[in-house]
Amino acid sequence: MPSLISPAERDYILKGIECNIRADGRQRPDYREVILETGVISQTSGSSRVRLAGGTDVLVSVKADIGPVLVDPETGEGADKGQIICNVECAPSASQQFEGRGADELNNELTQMMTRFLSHNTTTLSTPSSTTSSSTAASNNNGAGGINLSKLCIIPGEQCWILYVDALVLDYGGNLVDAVFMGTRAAIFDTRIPKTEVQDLGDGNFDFEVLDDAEDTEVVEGREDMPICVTLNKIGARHIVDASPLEELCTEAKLVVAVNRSGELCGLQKGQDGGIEPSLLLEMIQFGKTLGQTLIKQLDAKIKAEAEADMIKRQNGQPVVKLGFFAQ
Amino acid sequence: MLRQKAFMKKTKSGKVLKVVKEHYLRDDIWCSVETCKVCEHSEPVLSAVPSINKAYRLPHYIIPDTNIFINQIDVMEHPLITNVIVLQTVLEEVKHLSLPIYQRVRDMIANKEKRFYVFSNEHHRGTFIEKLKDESPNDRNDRAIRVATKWYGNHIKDLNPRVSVVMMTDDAGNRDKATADGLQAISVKWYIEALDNAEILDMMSSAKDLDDGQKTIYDEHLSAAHVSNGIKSGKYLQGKLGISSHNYLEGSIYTKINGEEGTILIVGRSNLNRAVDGDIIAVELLPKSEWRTTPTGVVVDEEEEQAEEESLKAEQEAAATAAKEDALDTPQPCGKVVGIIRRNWRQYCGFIDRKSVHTPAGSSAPVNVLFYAMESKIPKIKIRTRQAHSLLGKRIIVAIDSWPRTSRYPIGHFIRALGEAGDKSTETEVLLLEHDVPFHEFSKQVLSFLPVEGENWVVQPEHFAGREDFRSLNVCSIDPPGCTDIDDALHVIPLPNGNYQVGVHIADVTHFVKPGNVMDQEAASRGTTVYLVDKRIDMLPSLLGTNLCSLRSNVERLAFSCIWELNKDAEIVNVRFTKSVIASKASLTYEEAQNRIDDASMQDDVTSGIRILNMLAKKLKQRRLDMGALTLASPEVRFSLERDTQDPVDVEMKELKETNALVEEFMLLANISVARKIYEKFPDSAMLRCHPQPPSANFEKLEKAVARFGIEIDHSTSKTLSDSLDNAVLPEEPYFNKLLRIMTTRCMMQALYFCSGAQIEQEFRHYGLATDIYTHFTSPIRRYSDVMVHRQLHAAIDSSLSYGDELTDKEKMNDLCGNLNHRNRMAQQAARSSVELFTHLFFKNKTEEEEGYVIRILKNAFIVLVPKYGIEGIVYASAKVSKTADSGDAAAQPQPILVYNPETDCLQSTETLAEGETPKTQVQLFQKVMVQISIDDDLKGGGEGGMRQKLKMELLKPWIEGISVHGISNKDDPEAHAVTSKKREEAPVQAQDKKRAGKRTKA
Repeated sequence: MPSLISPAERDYILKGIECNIRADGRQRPDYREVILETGVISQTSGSSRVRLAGGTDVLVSVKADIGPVLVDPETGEGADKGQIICNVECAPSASQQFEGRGADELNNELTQMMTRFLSHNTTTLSTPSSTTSSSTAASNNNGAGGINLSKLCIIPGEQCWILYVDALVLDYGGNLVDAVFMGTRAAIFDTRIPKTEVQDLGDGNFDFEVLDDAEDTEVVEGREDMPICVTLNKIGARHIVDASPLEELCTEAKLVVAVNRSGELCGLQKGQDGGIEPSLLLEMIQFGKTLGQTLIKQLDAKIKAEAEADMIKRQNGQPVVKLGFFAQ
Repeated sequence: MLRQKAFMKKTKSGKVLKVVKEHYLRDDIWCSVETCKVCEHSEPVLSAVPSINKAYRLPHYIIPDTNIFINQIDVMEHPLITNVIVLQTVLEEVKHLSLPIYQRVRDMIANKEKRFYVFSNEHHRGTFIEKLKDESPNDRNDRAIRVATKWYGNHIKDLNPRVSVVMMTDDAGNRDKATADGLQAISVKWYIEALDNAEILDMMSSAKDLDDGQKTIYDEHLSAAHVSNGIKSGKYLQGKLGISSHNYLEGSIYTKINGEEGTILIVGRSNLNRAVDGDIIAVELLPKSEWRTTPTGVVVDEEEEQAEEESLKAEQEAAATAAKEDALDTPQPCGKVVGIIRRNWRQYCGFIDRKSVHTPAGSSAPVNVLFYAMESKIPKIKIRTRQAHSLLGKRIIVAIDSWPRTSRYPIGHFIRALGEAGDKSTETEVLLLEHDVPFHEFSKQVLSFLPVEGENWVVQPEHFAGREDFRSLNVCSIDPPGCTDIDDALHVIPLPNGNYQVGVHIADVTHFVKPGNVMDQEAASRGTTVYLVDKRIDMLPSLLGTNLCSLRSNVERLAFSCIWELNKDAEIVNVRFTKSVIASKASLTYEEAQNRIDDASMQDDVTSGIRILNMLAKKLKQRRLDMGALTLASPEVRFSLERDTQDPVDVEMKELKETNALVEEFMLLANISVARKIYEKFPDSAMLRCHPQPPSANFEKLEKAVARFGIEIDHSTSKTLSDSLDNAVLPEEPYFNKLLRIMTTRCMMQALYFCSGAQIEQEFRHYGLATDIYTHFTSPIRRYSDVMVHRQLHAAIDSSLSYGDELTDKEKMNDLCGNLNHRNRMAQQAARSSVELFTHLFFKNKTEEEEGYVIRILKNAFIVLVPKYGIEGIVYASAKVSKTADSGDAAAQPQPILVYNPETDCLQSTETLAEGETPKTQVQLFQKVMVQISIDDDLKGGGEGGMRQKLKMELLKPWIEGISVHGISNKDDPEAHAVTSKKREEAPVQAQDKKRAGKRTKA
């Protein structure tokens, strides 16, 4: 990840974007090739690895663990809800700048963004253009992350599942946010939570057993409604998606649009110093939503195909071999 | 080829782990069929021509599923079942479900004759399967079994001679699927029926067939989670059920009630709720109003049992009203079983109830019969058998399968027959089995740890390393006659300073038994040598016990010596311990030693040594008694056995000589000295022995009874108790003191081995011996505790010795103590049962009249001890309802003639009494009675042959109408006959009889 860019280089990228041709030959709304595989780490409850051609490489793991429910002392809410705890970490090997404490700020920013988009319980943000559609997500009582947290509760008021989502950035090639969210969505998709059996011990006491069979598990409910993020970078008067590291250096303003499969806006965050005119902002949001929906559709199709292929192999008694880190 | 296996685990701290294991599949797991040329097995297990069964054309190997092993393990153990392929899937499931059964399967696999082959199908490329989505683990395992069966079928189809495989399962669904796959599948029942063997058919566990399925008799047990939560919250109490030996419908648990240790009674069939003696149960306390205040009654038979239950109800009601008036008598807490935490079912020896066999003789149709266990604590067991008639009169072994709510009795199945009832060897085997005494021969593996020289082993020069040479000392041993395992020997030397050097030499067993080897493990598991009347079950192979370790005279032997310097008053000046080599000069019997002391003409070194020892022993004893050591008594008898048949021809009380005490004193001294030494070296893990102070409750009844004679028993310390016992002498009754000592012995607690780290120092006390620390050191040949103590002592005196953690690990030591205590108790009981058996043999066809004493009062009976034979028997205080004569009148309940008076703890006649008047007839503790002793043959099982023989005691004197019988001496007296028959006729008019009875007693 370069930290500086020469005026000539900047000028070259800027002009290119103006002419709808980018340094690597893409057009403005073009995404790089995305390589996605799930189930890469068998010890986790769910995992995925996302790579964007040209560098960015993110490994996401989900670990389901049991812990006490978190009750909001003021509202008393949360007694019947599970939790999602996110953490993003950039490996020092990903970039020179991540060495030492260099990645702290980025880690924090990404972690907070993930926490906000996935587990924070605000209802879907509504924008003027999507007021009608936004109510669906809000009505099913799911958080902005789409995941049904109530389903993660084991004994109301006592114990619940906590999903620890850990994203590890292995290599940096631009557009980290999108990659992290894509990976997270795929990892949650892959996650299997053990079934529990709650026993009534009488006297208002409950205990539960965890079924030991790794196959007898449940998927995370609401996983289809999880959003992904599309980062739009405003460069000059135009905006592009899936920016490369150099393009990111030219970015004046950045807009992260989180969107779910039904096109609902689940989160919005602006970055960098530059401003965005309102008309461009709306256009960018609209564009992000459309692109995000298409991306989700393609990702879902890919994950589904992979799961089906695995199932067929297992039924035939063939071993399911993941490429994992042997993949090119 | 690599696969992964994953499963979930919840850790203790509540975290969830996903465990992923790598699983490698192999192509070199062989089929182990003798004729298979493809596989490269070196020692095939499965024979070329396996089992043949009418059901199948081809000889076949059996592939059973898990439930076959779990439910039908006895069938699988039958010699007819061979050539079985045990799949790894099955074996692992069995291990998971039941460890004891897993062990039995393992034993069968180890047995070459059974030809059980473990096929590791989970590691085999051709048979490994992965669980599918939406497939339960059970379905997956069933599929794995089918896949493996299929693989075997294909693998062996071209062999010559032709063979096949048969899958055995009782799951019809699985069988259907197997048939659909083209496999042969069969249920146990079909398979066994096609074998056509009555014995193996009976072994089939058939829980479902026997269930009446009608009305539920018992309450449901609570779920395990419910119970454990209830115990945590204190709502339920947990304990090990002990059933009363007098009444199998009454049990108790010893547990903490509100922080205080106490006993909870569980009375009656429905309160016991299918719990069997030894089960760990959860109990809910009944409300205080239902607690019991009266002592135990005796339940003899079903009819009486009914009555007992009814009277119990009435009693409880009465108790409820009487509770307020009767504030003095503290009622005993009662409870009911709400759940069973762990079953402790084992195999039971017993016999079939003749009355329950209804088919004509010679019939081999399966019938349901009732089985009585030898142990009266065990309820009757319902079994299904085809050999009912051939099993009548035999001792058999039965296992319980289940106890459904709808069945009055537990349901079980036949395992094997031991032999004819009443036969001495059968009965001995029964009592060994019943007391869990391991009596199998020592295995080859165990024997392989004996010295290779065998009989010819002698002390070699190298043995002297680290040992003192005591061969020149005048060592001698004193033991009972016929003793071949001599553990101990003594010597004494007068020292120039006027003191004496005294040495106790104990057989050095640990020289031969090294820690941890198979022989050591076997000895640790046996715990002790068991002495029966006619035989001995050794703890160590006899080469060691009776030869190499035994300190026989005139041979050199290795010993562990304890050497004191004692002054003239027998006070210890110093003590040291050393390993040594000795050569005993004489092995004497108690009698021989006594004669030597008494015979003034004997003046040799050994004899004068014994005299000095005797003098010192007396002083030691006196000091011990002054400290408060108890002299207790137990009615021990010795049988004279006929040389060839080993039948008892005479019984006599064991006699104690001065020399017994001589040896005993020095052994006590050695044990105490050693205990101090090992406790010093191993403060946390020394193997010690304690004897807790008996709780006052134990003495309550005895105190009440002797108060009548103006005697007081102060048991606050062993010293006061000892003094009270010494003073309790009735001039007119010389036996009284001995009797009192016998009864005091029964109030005592059991002495126990313990690990010093597990108790506080105050509890080390040995109450009976009045010493603050004690252990067992002097009999390593027959007690494993002594072996451990030897090892600890050796480590304590030889600092260069290296030893394992078996001497220091508190946990291990604790477990070992637990086992030794259990084995000891069992050995004692087995010995007692053996004496009982020989008493029965002795009284067979004999009727004796003897003097006896009442030693315990029950609600409807009393127990009489006959000192001459050291036997006890129950005399019932209810009128005998003759079952054979009055069978039409069976509803007639036994009429109580004497009733229990809780105030005076005696039985008395039922007439109403005026204030202050004493009842006309009463039976109380210590009362001297005349009884007639004979053997009661048909008490249970409804038939001749004496299935559970019992000593029958009938009262002769005092005469109580309805209870007493006429002795044999006046059997010919016509008048006596008249009275007996009259009594029967007049049974309903009891009141008149009683008056007459009263008169007669006075006259």
